[in-house]
Amino acid sequence: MSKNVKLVTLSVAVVAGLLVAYWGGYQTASIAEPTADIAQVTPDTPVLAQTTQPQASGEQTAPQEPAIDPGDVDPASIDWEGMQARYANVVGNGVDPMLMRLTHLGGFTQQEIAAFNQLHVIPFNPKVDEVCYDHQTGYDGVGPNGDGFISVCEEIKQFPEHEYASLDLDALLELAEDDAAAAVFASRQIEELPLKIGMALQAVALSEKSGPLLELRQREFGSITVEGDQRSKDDVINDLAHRMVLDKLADLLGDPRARPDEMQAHIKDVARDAQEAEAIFRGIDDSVTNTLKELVKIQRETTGSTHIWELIDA
Amino acid sequence: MRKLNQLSIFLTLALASSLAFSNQAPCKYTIKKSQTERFHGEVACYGCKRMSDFAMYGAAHLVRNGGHYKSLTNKNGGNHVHVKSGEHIVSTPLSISAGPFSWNMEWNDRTYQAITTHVERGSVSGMPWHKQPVANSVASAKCEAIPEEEEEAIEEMKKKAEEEQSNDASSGSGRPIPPIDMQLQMQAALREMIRRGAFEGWHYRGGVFGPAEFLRPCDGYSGHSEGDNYVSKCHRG
Repeated sequence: MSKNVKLVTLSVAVVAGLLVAYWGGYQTASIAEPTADIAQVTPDTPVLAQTTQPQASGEQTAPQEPAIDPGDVDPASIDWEGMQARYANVVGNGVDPMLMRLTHLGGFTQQEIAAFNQLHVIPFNPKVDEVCYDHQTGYDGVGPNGDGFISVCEEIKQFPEHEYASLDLDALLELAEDDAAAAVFASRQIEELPLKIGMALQAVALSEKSGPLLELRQREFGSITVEGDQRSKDDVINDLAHRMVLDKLADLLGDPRARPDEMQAHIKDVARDAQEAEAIFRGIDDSVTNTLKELVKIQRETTGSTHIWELIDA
Repeated sequence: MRKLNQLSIFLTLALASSLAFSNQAPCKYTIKKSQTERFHGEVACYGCKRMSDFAMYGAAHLVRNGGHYKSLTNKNGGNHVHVKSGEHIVSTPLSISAGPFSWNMEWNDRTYQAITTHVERGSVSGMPWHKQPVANSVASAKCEAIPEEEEEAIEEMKKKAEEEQSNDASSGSGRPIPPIDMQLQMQAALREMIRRGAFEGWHYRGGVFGPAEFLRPCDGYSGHSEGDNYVSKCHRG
């Protein structure tokens, strides 16, 4: 567990590095989200089990593709924005359906899945079939016939669920000492942001994959609400800065999906003036540098690899 | 003439502010706008439990609000559901043919919105909705019902919290102080309710929301009305 303490220290350092440079005594602590963030769906009891035929629920159907060698796929060759755009009118802008593991949408290509798996610790588990049935919503005027019935589909995935999905947090934290997959599941389950970040960094250090950083970015900072209605400017800047640090780290680790400068304009928007914005950007850069140094240290101690050191040295 | 101008300015401002208000809080509770995503916002829903509840709550907030919001994250504690409103495209048996080509005719039925949902966080009972048509009239009716439904849900939560506290207090030496994490969750939920104005006009005394005090169970509650406000007091030994 000493490693966990170290990780908490590291992630706190990320947060602190972000803020100390600018705010001085700014409070980073926020009320922890009360529940875990693993997106799970449990089916309602089907009211009228009518059909079991497959029904396409995704926007796109994957075209018949020739078999590929997943190792040959270069993640940089994938049009990630195009993939996201294919689903935008279903899930909305700004939602990356692969990072959110919205496998039920279907239609992801073999290349996209292979490239995703190169960047992530937990492989993408695509839908191969689905069972659909009619479900009574209890609302008249809903559904194609307006009678409250809608057709919902339960997906059948290619692989069984990961064995760590059912482990409790203590077991995951124990395993996460030297198991990147356990660190990813721990990061998803943990409620406290510093430890959540810490576990994602542990997964990155152990696996040399940037995916956990962007998954965390999407889940925690996918949409950041504006100041007002009891949300302070500091809260908003804190979220924007976190998102930018995660993107910058992923970018330095060579992730083609990273958008390191995307939040710049928003930070300038929220900041009081250009001077304040500059101070925030300096804090973000310091935080990125310190985090990378810590990642190098963890990697050297746990795996003996110098991969991340080589990346930043270059 | 000058008075007429003043009147028209006043009416314009009044109309603009009421429109702005209706877009931000069409069903009483304020939608928090996203800084990073256009046409996206967040709204809390304490009565939402199943996927259908989240979907309908979202549909109610998004009906005729497309100019401002096209998607919402509906939050109930740790359960977050993304709700997206889109056009309801209806295909017709009619088609147009030109040589070897033919096009099926489709039209956008503006009396419906197509609702799609997915779980962003937590665990929600029910499968995701995929472009399910919801009649605007039904969404509007839901919107009107929301204030009452939410008040009931908040009341229920409050009762549960009070019951739990009094159970813990009366259980004597067994377990006098509830688990801290549960208390913190409750505290967070209550703060969230205050944040969005659910308790507007209510006063709390007895330090119920003070961090240290909150961790101590109340020995008993008393309440009385003061004008429009309800005053609740937690008694501790």
